Amino acid sequence: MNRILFFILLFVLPAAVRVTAQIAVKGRVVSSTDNSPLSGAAIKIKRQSIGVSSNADGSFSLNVKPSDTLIVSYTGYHTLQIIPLLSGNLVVRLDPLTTSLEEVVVSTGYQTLPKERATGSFVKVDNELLNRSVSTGLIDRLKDVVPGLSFNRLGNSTISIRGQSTIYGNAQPLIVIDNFPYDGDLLDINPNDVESITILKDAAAASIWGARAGNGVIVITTKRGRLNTPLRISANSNVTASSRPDVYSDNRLSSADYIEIEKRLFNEGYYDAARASGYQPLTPVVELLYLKDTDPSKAADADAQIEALKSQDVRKDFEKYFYQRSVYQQYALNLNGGSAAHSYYISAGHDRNRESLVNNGYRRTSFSAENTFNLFRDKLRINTGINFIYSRDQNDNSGTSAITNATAGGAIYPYAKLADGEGNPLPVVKNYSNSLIAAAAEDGLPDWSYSPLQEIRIADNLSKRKNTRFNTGLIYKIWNGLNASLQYQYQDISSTGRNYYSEETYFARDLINRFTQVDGSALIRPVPLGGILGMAEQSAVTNMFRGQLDFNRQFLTKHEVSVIAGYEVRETKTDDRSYRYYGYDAEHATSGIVDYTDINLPYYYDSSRKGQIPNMDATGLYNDRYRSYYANASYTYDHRITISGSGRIDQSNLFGVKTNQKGVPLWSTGLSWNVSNESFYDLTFLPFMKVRMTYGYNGSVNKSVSAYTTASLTGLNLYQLPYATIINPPNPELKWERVKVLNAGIDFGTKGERLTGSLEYYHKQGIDLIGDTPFPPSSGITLFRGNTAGTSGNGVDISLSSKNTTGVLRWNTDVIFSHINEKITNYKMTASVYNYIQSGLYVPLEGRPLYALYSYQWAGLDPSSGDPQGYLNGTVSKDYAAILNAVTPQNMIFNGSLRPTTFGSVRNSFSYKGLDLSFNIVYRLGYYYRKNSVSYGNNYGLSSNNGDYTLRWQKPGDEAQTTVPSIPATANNNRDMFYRYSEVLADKADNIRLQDIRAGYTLNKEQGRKLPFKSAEIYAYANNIGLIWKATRFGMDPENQRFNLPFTFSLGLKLTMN
Amino acid sequence: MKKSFRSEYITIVLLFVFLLSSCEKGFLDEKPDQSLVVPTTLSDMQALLDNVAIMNYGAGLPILASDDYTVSRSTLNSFSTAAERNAYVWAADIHEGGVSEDWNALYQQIFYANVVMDGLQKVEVNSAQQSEWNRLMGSALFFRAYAFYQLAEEFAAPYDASAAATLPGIPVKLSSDVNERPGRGTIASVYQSVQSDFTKALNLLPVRQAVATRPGRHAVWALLARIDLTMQNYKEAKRFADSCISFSPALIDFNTLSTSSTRPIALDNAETIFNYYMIDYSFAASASISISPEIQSSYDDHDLRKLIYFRSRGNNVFNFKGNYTGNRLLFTGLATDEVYLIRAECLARLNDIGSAMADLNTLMKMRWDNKAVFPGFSAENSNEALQKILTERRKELITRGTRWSDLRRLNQDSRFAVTLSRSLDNDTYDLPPGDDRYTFPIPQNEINGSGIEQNPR
Repeated sequence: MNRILFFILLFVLPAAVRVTAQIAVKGRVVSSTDNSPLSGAAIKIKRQSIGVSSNADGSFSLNVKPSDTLIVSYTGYHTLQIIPLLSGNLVVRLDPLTTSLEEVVVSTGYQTLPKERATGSFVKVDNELLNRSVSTGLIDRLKDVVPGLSFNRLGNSTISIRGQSTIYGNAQPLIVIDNFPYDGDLLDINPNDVESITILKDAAAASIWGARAGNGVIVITTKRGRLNTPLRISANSNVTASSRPDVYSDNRLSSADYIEIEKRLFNEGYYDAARASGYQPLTPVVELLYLKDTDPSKAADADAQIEALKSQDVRKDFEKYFYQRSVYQQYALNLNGGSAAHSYYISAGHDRNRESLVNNGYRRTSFSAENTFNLFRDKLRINTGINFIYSRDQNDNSGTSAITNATAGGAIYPYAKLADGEGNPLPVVKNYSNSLIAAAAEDGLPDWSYSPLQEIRIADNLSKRKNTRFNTGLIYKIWNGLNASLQYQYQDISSTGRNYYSEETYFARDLINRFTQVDGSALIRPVPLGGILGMAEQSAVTNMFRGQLDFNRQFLTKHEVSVIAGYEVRETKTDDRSYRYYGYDAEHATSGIVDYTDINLPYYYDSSRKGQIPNMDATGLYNDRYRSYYANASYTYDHRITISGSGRIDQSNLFGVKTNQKGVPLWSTGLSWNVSNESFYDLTFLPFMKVRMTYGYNGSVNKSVSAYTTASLTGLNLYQLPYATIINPPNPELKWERVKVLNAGIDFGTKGERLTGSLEYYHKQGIDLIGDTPFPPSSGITLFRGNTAGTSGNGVDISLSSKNTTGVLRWNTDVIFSHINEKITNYKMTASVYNYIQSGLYVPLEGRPLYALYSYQWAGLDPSSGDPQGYLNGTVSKDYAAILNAVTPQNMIFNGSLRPTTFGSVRNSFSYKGLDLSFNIVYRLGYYYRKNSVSYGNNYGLSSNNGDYTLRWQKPGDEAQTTVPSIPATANNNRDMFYRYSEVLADKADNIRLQDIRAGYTLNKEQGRKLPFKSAEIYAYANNIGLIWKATRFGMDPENQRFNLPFTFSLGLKLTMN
Repeated sequence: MKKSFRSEYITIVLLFVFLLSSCEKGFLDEKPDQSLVVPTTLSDMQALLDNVAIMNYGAGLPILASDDYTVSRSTLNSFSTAAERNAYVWAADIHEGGVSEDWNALYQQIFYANVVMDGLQKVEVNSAQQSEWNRLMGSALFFRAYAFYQLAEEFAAPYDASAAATLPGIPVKLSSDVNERPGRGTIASVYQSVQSDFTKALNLLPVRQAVATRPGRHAVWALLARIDLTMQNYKEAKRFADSCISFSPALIDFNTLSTSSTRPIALDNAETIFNYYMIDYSFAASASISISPEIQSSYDDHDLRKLIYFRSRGNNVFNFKGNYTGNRLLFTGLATDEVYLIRAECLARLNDIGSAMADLNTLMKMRWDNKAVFPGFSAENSNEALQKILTERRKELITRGTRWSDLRRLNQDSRFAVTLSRSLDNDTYDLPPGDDRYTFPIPQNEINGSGIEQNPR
């Protein structure tokens, strides 16, 4: 051991000796807040490489020239420059940093490190910022406060950190809680238990997470108790209410227009076949029209009824009976403290949400307890944590889009009446004609009518989830600066979905009736009378273990070394089961038996049509296993230069043996330079400046492919022998997807930290991404899914914090700005134009972003007919089939990205004495959306039920005001498709909105009042306030085509007792 | 002090060693999804070979390009793929840049067969399973060789012993590695591979398998007879036909069939040796596609095939209904009638006229109305015998997929060479003997992917 020390000394000594003596200065470095000694503070002479560090009691001594200036610095404190007095003991009081970059300690999940020494891109969201907004979920609180982090409205991940560097792989950032990856539901984290969040954006920050770090990492650190702290009790409670959803913002056909179309269709005999069937449904207006036809004496009465229906609007009933103000309540309580050798944090939380859809609600109860014990003279630290979350989600109301009508081809007719004057549910026409419903009743079948309002009242769809996490860890101090730790975590997530359709529900009655056969006077019921119970159960058990060695040591004041190396294994077993009971009797918990094998059960309403009782039984068993080896090291010289390196080898059962054997490590390297700590640095207005650069590789996981030949048993062949189909050809070369990241950044702070900020440029390149590539058929396959694709992205993230005023009234402005350019760089498979423009899938196209909006070129409406026009071989054309066929991926219109390419926020905060006020303005720019519009189909737009119908071209000259085509003379699907996906409906989605405002008032005991508590804050928070500006020419919020997001208002109280 | 430190250190190291070693080798071998079938067992292999929709559907365009059918312009336009429309008129470009379904389907069969063969190599079997293993290996060899033969007959030049060693063949892919690109090789190398596969299969297969979608040894003989006929090795062809007939001599007596039935010949009838279908091209489903009138009118009134095979749709349109499949799918598998005809032809060419005509009469007697006197076929010389046998061969094997090969082979002999001709409205198309268009073009996606050489057209 002594030998090792000797060698290390040998290495570092030459840099530290060579001191020339003039005057001896002695002093102590202490904290200005409590005069506690600061050990290890750096004291150096400006413009020289001479320096010492303070001893355990804060003392130091140093020889200086009379003209020298001393620079005293300590992590977490303001750096001080002083000219030493030539006699006596010097006491240097350093002020702790309060809201600056330097104090920040970031966590990677494997270690915590002062941001000062970080080379990579870390963003820390502290407790104050996390609690600025009010929400049930934790992750929502990262919205609009982290540069580079975006919440996605479309695509295969809800959050992205600096875009997406995978195509078919998992694009969600890795979430880490208490040092272990977390794959559960994000709602299962009580935000009140979270101390801070660190976002790891580049290779150096994230590569310690190896194969899962490609999408960035979000590290959540939960609250802990502190040693030597008396019991502290904190409580937080708030309530959030929303406005009612604006049902009228849904652009639908008016009842009058709808009825006019129905009349026109009726006159053309459109409904005759449905009527002749005897069972197909007809809307009330169509029924009245037939009544008029068959019984002219009732014509006047029928007309009057139809006229009355024109003023009926189903949205009024939606608003009254289906929607309400949501009310979210949140309560949290925690106790924490600690003695000399033990600290604890115990908390409980309860959330109770009434959703805006009537009868839907969510409740969450959480409990957690963390204990840390320091044993054997602090040599061994043991921590244990248990975390339990129980949530229940009642989902009885599926929303108004679930109220469908088979004749109208989709949505319910706009003049439907859902309740009578007293609020009693009324039936509406759904799948069957009134005459069939009457005949069924005659045959003794259960009532077959459908009352949407009744359905949401008797529905019983409840999901429950229990999420238990248990972790324990041992940290043992082996030697000065060398620790060994073992950590283990067990997580069990069990969820149960129980959807009980009682015998009274339409769902149960419909299935029973549909298969009922009338045999003379007897009824044969393949689906037995009674309720239907659908169950879905899932359990996911994860075991994780990690062993790690840490070495942190400062040598001879100028050399800081930090090394970690470790090994971890992880296994997640998921067991899925779903099943359904027919003829379920809830009172006795018994069920009936059905025959799933009969695929030719005749339908009651038409025995020539056959069906099969839906079999919902399914099981699945999944097992993910990972094994990793990792190491990370950094060296800092004199608070000036830090170099870091990180490497990790991942192995998994997802891949073949070959990949695991090869064990290509994911690695990174980084360099940072605190320029302002250099002796030559002389910019007094900018006392802090640091530049840094990192480069390396992260990975991402794609579970959709396998290295092995896989087949699935598909069924029985003509000789009733089981046969199998190959679904995945052998791919022994399969490997991890990788993301190559280059990050360059600069952090700075002006004098007095009036303006601080950081600016980063990054370049990301997705390589070996899983993608499709065409293969010569002689290979046996025509399409190969393997490591063949690539993406590239680059961008800038900027964050600026400005203290505009200090003093009694403080005004701060925080600005974040992100810009990103992304494209697919390598993708050999091209699909038909339909896939890019119309399919609604995000089909990769080389040279374009993955999430891109494409459209057909638009040539205006034909002034004589109102027909939409496009281009065919460069000339204006109305040959829609030919236009659609002639478009190629090369010449279709690329409008732009579907995801914002420039985004960020501007947050202004004011505080005056105990009063705080802040508001956040957010902007999302440089992206596109497609407006919905009418498709005429074969029923003049009845099925598409879009209000643009009223804007349609009707007579020559209208083309000056509208771009909505006329009703075509004959149904023309190609014409509809051309218009719906032409560039005239594609528009800029750019917008700026006032996202939220928060106001709070804090009372402190320190303020000298006789308060029964240490501090109390009362706060109010308003969210989704409104658009300030939008680029789109259409009068709508481009991000909310159907319903605008409801405005919410919260009130809360936070108490801390000591 | 020092001692305690050391013991602590050792404890930590031991803990790490324990933890690292506790994860045994099998940790990463667990399947990520239990429902995944990684084909490893004999029954997995059987299930892959029993995927009839992939393994038992083969080439179709050569049937349309031969002289079995007559199609009007409007019917031709109703065919759903450009390849069908082009194949009928022997257009220079068949696939118009699109895929070839024949090529894709046959190479997919080869891929499945290779997966099974590669998989079987890794299966450890005990002595009780050896015959099962042999049967599966033999089956896979059979499927692969049959697919190669069909590909050669469509996409490589007609077999001619003098040129086979120099003309390009088709990629002979013998492993399941999708990254392997074998190139076209030569026609001779394709046939060598096919014959070698069959020879191995003969030693592995039972005479018959449980169902006719799985090949037995009699199927190997029948196919070897067909292939040697194509290669004009008449002596060899006769030898294999002998073996086949000795085990499977049965013929259907057409007097037992219902002439009025729309599907008079059932699946798994007495003649079927191996069930195999043409890919379900749209032309085969068309009601207005007709068997060429000159064939349809060539049957004797007492020849029951006239009634069993054809259904009149009026307007001189005759649909074919003599499929050996019991449904509308065209049968391109193996049956004993073909083997009798092969042997008869070989015997005639080997100058054993008596035996040749005996074989022909064995077959024809079963096709003749038993209420009329069967006149019997006879010949004075080899040439006459050959003429009669080839005429009946053409009439017996309509839509069976053999005609294209016969044209390619017989056109090499001036006695039997014919120029095919189509007339559609005012357009006429000719295909003279030995024309380059007797070899289909390789689909463009194959050339793009593997860079193999295109055929002259």
